Amino acid sequence: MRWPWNRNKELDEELEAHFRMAVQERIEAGASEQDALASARREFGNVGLVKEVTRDMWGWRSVETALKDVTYALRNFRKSPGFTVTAIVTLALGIGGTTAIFSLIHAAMLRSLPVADPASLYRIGAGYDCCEDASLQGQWGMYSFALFKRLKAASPEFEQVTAFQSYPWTLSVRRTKQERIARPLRVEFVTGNYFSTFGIHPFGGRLLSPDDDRTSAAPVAVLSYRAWRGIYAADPSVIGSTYLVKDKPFTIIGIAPPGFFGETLRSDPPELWLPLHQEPLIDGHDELLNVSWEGWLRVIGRLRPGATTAGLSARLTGILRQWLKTDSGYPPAWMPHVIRSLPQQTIQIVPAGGGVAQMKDEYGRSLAILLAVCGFVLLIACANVANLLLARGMARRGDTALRLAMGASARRLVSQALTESVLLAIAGGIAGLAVAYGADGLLLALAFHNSFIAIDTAPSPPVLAFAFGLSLITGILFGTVPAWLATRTDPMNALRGAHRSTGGRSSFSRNALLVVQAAVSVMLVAGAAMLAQSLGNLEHQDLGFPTANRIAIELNSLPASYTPKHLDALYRSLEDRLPQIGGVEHAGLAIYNPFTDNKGELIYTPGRPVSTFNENSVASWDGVSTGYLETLGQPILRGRGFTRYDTDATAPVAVVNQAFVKRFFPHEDPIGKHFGLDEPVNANTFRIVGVARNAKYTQPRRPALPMFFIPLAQHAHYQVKSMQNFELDHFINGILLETHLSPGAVEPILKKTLADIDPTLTIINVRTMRQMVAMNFDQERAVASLAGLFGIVALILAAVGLYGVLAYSVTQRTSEIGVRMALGADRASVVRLVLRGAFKRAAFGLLLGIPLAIGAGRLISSQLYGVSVWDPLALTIATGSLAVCAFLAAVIPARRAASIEPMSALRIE
Amino acid sequence: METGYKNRIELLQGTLDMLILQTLQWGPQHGYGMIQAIRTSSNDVLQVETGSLYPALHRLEKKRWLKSEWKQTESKQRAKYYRLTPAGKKQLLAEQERWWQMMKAITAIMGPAPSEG
Repeated sequence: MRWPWNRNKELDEELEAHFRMAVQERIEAGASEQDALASARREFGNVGLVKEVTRDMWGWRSVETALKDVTYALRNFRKSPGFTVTAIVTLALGIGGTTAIFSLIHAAMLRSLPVADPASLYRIGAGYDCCEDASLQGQWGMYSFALFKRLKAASPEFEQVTAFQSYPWTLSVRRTKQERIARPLRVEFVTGNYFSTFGIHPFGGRLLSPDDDRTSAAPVAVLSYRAWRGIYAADPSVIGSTYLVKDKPFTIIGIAPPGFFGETLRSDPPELWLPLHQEPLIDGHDELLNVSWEGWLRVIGRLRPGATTAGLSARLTGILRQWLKTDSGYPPAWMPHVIRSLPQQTIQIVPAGGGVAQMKDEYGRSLAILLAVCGFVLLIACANVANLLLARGMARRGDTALRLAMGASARRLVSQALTESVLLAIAGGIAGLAVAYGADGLLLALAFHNSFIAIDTAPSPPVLAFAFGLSLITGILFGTVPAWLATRTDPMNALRGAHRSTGGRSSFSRNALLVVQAAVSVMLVAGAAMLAQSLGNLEHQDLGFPTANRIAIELNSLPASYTPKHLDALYRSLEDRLPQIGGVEHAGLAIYNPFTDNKGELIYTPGRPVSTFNENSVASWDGVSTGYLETLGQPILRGRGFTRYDTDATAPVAVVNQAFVKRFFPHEDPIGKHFGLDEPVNANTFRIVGVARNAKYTQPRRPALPMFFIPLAQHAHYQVKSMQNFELDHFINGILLETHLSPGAVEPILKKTLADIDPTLTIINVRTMRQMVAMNFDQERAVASLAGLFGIVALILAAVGLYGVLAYSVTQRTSEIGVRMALGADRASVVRLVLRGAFKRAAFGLLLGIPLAIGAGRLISSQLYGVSVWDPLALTIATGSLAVCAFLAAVIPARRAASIEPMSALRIE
Repeated sequence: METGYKNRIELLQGTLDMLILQTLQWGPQHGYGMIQAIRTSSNDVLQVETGSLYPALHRLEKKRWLKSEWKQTESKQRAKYYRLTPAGKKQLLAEQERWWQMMKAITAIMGPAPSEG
């Protein structure tokens, strides 16, 4: 293979050899060296010219001709700025949208953590969820501290293994001497080797060490760079100062480096890292560290150089199963179920260079949908530009024909046309990068409101490479057909100036492109309508309580040292004082408000056999004040709600919801029946006094879970030690107000009232119930809005394309229309003629687009809520909007056609 | 030396390609050798210019009638040798055929060449 850059050198050598032979022969014939040189040079002629003429023979691939093509293309762009700008803007929309989504996919899924050698990091366990329905994890991913130590000891392949809390908690934190009121910070408990496992160095001070991670060690903490800058104004004296975390003093020993946002990409990353062994100090009797069966830690290890993970998964799975059987510490009643499900319990080892890849799973499908949508918009954009090029190609037929007749090769014409389209596409790509940057900002704002997410959307090399590659492909895609058609020009016909011939192949391609555009935009609009409808269904569904005029307040946790007596007094004063705030009609207190938490326990009813334990044996629960259910608007259907007589002085009572009755008392009257938690001996703990209507407290997409409510002022008494956590866990995190006031109006008064009652009562946030519900659908809203936006862009592009073709065909057919009118056709029938053309194409588009839309609906059906894949409303919207677009696109050309004067039209002939 | 070159005439348009193909039918040759061969065979009448020869060689190679490779000359110098491809041989036959037809036609009009006096 001869490469162009070798070819010049080779030519030099070839001519040099020629010259040497000429000189040598002359010397052999007896000439002096000087004469031989002079004579040979004379005979050879102008070396530079010889080279240049020879190089011309190398053809169109040479660099010089490529440059010539580029200048030719640029000259053409300058000659038709309207065309150029339209094409570039169209392409920028298509390429920009696609690049935007790609850059998010790259940032959220492909990028590595900013740590040392991310490739040697592996996560022990691929699962994310823990025990939602009290069943075992199956695909394990969360461990207790005891199990973590066991797994760590069995993984010598790892140089270091760290465990960290799966989800940061929001705790009240106050800097002593500087701050009077505590602020909520996100706190993550990690092992002492957390930072050294990731190979992270401090920005200031020092990071945690294994020596800090002991129960006896002085409590220390590491602050995130972002919190240090944002909250503490980059004050260097933060290092060494004392912070109260839930009223327990911790010394800040250092600041983490700027790019590090924890091991998991998430919105609102941790701001404070504490040693794992200080968890009991913070949580008191609620501590998790020494509870052998509580899965709350995730684990990442760094592989030793040269080691592999082969066999590790099987070994750890074996250890897990053995541990579950003998050391898990589950109550004896659970063991038959645990043993039965042992074969399904596995631990996988997965690469963790990108951190814990939870985002990938949560957002992967949404991003895939958006990428597909953008891809289709890009396709429509390509079709539009191809149509523009075709129209221009028709206009330049004479020019092309002349060049063909003068001996230009077809290859050369194609290469020129492709150079032009690729240049257009690259210009579109550059403009598209700007679009992408803006779109990413919009997308993140839609998906995460104003919460912070460490996603850097600034163009990075992979994103730039993607945009460039995409532009190139795009340019070839929309450039090929027009370029090929250009070479089909018959010089004779074209030169004869036959404007009447509409160019059979060309007009077929243009119509085919229009139909494809219409079909794809029908599909996109229908898909967007389905997503919007699904979002509407989710947001306006009956949750079981009204969402208007309700304000939910999330509180920082109260100090663990508060006794039940202390809490009772506190709650009573809250219940008395809160309704006195002007504008507040009702107030209620709860351990948690809807959509902020979920607590579940295993339910036992008297006489039920132990062996029936499974995921249908659990119910969620909440502890509430007497007025809470009334404030929320969750009606009591039978029996009674709680009263102020439900205290420790009386026997424990509970209110259950309909789903609870259905699951545990399917054929009985539940009022007066008993149930209990976790162990058969507890089966008689609670007496059911009322049945509340079903309400969704956790997952708005799923039916209401079985739930029971217990009064905050009543504590069931247990003999078993493991139940005492439950007995004492009556710390509220939620206040609910029924009021017409806005959160902004309530917050200052509320703050003051709370501070009057107890200064440790501090607010994390104040939101309306509507906001609480809407926050569950941020992702759906982002996808639906963007899909809608792109659907509209697609429609506009399709309409512009249709307009272009119609306007062009009216110009082409001026004389034909003139003849028709001269022969008696009235203006209405001319308008009909043009409109018919528009609607015929739209109809073909529909014919193709509706099956596509149904197919797309099937593909996204897992994302839809209460919308069938064959959704009449969505299809009607898509059909209607296409018809409107076709009409709008046809109006101007139709009016122009109707205003043709027969006489002047015929005179052009 | 120079005297022998005085009688050379301009080549007819399009005949250079044929002459190159014809010269190469006896075996591979480099550019300088071809010029010499054409001059010798034409009794010093036809002198091919380098500015015509090399573009023609590269053009014919691009049309795949010739193939080139670097070889040692008899005097141990490196030179680029060209040889006919099968397609080139076919082309040569076609050109010969056309040439003889043309010669016959032109001779019929112009009459036989006058004897040298």
